[in-house]
Amino acid sequence: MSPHELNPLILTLVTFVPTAGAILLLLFPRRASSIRSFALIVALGEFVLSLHLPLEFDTAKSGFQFDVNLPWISSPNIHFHLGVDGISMWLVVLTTFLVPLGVLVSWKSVRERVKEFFILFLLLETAMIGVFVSLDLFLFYFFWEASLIPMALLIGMYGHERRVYAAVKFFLYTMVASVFMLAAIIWLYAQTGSFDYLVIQQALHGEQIANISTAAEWLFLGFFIAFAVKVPLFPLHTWLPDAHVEAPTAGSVLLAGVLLKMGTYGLLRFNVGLFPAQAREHAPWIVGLAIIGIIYGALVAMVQPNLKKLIAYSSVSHLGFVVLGIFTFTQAGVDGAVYQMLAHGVSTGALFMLAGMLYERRHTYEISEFGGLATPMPVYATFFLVITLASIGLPLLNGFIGEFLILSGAFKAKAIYGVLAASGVVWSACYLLWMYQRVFFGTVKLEVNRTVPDITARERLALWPTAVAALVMGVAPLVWFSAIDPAVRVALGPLGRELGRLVGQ
Amino acid sequence: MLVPLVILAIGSVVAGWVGVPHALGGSNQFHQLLAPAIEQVEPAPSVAPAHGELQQTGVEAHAQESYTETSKERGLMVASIAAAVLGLFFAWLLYCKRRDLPERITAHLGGLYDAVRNKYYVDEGYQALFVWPLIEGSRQILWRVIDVRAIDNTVNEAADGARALSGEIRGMQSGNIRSYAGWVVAGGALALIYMLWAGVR
Repeated sequence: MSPHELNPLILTLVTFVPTAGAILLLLFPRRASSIRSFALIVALGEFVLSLHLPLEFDTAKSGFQFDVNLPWISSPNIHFHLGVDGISMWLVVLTTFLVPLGVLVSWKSVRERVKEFFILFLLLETAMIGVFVSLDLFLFYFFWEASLIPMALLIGMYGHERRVYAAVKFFLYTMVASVFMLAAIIWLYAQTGSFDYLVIQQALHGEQIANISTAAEWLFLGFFIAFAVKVPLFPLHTWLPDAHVEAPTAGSVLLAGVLLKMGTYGLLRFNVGLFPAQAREHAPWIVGLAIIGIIYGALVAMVQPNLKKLIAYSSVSHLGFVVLGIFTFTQAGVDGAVYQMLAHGVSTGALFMLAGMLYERRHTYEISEFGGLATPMPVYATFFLVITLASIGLPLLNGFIGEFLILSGAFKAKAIYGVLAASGVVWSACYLLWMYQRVFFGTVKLEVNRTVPDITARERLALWPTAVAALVMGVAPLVWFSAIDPAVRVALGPLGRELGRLVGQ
Repeated sequence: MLVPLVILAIGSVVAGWVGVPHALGGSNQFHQLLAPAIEQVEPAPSVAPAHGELQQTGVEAHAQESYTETSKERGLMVASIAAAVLGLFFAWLLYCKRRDLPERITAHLGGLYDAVRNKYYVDEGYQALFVWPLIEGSRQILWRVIDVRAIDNTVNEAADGARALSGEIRGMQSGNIRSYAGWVVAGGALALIYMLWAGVR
């Protein structure tokens, strides 16, 4: 079978291979080692399979590719419609890239209910990929909510002391917000008779729906609140530090690496894609919240005594950059936002993996418990520094490309946006380097830290891919932009660009 | 540390010879290093008529310039060598010849010596003026008050409020038939009042 013949099938396969793996895991005997190995094989196979997407992706074609559109339920009119463009394709690959690493870092840290853990983990992968590839709004909503269940269980069952509190908070907070999106989706279905993204987009842009202008306002806000909580945008972010601190390492990796991107992806795909006029109208206050998030998230991150909380608040800051980039409506800004999503997934995913490795050794995340760790753990310290610098946005590493493009887009949209957001780059250096200094430099203060073992071969195996990805993404961004750039061009216009001119840019 | 110092020492003796100044009859290589990059900024020669004339005066000005350049270079050389010799002399005086002098000078200068030794307290001033307010402001105001008490508390209060309200309302489901009948009557009465009120209006 030639690779081309796989094209119509590939998205279905990529979405459901993890589920198939989870079902097979059900049949496994309760022997932890074989369960882990099998989960790793499934996750790796899934990653290799997903590489088919970028390899076969036709960058010359605009619109969605690899699409399948089958009627699923006739009444209501629900289709099994999958497809990816340059934006969602790379988010799928990011997901399949992080899942095997998540399996590797859970190797030793998950000791009880190992089988359930990996089943939930693989189901979560299906749900996350489903969110990115769905082109039917019902299907999208299904996967969107489906991703909550395994994640909440992962936090609630395998987390730390306050895990149940964090899991319930995470579940309720994001779910309450999603209900508004459900209402908007149902309204759209009632008016158009279709859940199909492209049909609804056509109907909205062709103004085929009566009295759409007032309704569109509410629809926009309905989608917005669901995504803003997920991102999370200031001031809807307080579930995030709680969820991260309590989540097991692999849960944090996927939470920061992928689940948050579902929010920014939704903003770009639905808020900007379906309601370009409303998005531009509301852009000023959304950008305001994004900039507050950048600065506020960074300042609060700076004073966190807990390593994981610090990384969680840094995500608030970095995702603020993404939202800012999207709502500049400039080619550079949105390109940068998409790239920043990928870069943040790699580097923050790696930061959480690193924090988890430290926890396995010392059973604490308190920064004051460390100090001078570069002496007993030189290899670990080196990996940590590379990832820290990538997160700060050092040129040649992945964070720089996204931040630079977002800032240039922001300056183009309005100089003050760029000025304020650029200060975030400085803050991120403040909190990350200060944290690095307190954890790794100086003399070893606590006796117990003197004998902390350095990372093992398995842990190195989990970290190398992130370090290499951070470097390659920083040096050769065009590999990614060849697909992202045309997709962003479509998302921004021609109708969008026309409106941008009308709403006074 | 010895090897890096050796390398640096070799460099400090040798590296300067890459660019012997014009004043000493050398050809300063560094002087021209960035010339190609800067040349492009000069106005394009297409501003035709005065072109020849301009070039003429340009050459004269260049000669004039190179003369003043040479004397300036010589002056700087003398000054920097003098400063180095002076430094060597004082180092020899204070730390080889008269070892007692440094302490006497320190005692004589008092506070000024401390200020200089502590880099005029710039670091401490910066710490007090910028770093401390930023960190404590972030910790006490942004995190403890705004994030924890204002934002997160609102979220938690909403959840607690819903739970408390449900706890109160739960009392209605007592399983007591008579109380159910009471609720039915109360509800009926409310409906009746509403209908009467609507009818009157």
